[in-house]
Amino acid sequence: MTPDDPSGSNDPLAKIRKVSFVFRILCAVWLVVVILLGMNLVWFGVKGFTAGEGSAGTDSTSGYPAEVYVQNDAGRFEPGLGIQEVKVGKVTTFSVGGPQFFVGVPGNWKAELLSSFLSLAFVAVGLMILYRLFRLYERGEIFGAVTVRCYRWIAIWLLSGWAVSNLLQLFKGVAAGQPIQMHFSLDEMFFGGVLLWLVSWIMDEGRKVQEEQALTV
Amino acid sequence: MPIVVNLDVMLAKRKMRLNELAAAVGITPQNMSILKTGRAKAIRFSTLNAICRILQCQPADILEYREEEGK
Repeated sequence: MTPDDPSGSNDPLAKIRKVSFVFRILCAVWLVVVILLGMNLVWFGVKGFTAGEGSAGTDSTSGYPAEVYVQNDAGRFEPGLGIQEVKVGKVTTFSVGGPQFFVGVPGNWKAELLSSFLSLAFVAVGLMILYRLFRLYERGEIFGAVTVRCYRWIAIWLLSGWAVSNLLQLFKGVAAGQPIQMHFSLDEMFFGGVLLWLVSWIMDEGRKVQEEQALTV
Repeated sequence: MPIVVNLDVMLAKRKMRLNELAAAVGITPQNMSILKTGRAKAIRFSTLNAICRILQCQPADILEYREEEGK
């Protein structure tokens, strides 16, 4: 928007601003969902700690032994975040295994709960970073220093998720009585994180060159 | 930065405004403001040449080297 163009129709960044606004709202909505899921997990945790022992059985979704403590009286959760309803005999509970890349320790619902908290926290951090990034795009800061820092944070987020998920796999094996096997799989999270780090570095170097040129009189 | 730009002193001596100097030199007022406020990273010889010609001065009248404190 300028004095000659109050409607802002000649704003070259108008499309970017609109799309960024939409995605920023989506991030906010999804963040609220994640927070609500987290609060629900807290409710399950409290119920689990106060309910006492239940009947042991097998978690049909993950295949390893699970101790059923919590009675499911709440509604269904959204799929995709790894929280699924599990029926063990006549008792219904939730399998809180979390997203694919976070695997809980078998036979211990408290560890499962903690694992799911970690998963949700991980997703929440990613959403907050994306929210910040889209807000910067809305302001027209496409190649600024803060934007580059956001990319770097996303790269760190991916790499830390990769590291933690692999470590949890190791702990799962140890908890299940398997010998310690250091097996770190280089999956898409690892390569994505590395590539994004490289891209952010290149953008930062380019930004410095451009600033130097812009400030050459 | 140790290089200090004393453009405002020369402008006052020649009773010239920044916008007038910018127009005469052939650069935008924004760039001239960047130079005057010391935010410039570099200055072209052609720009320095034009400023000195218009203000009838030497480069040393506009640019001054000042040691940074503590060094």
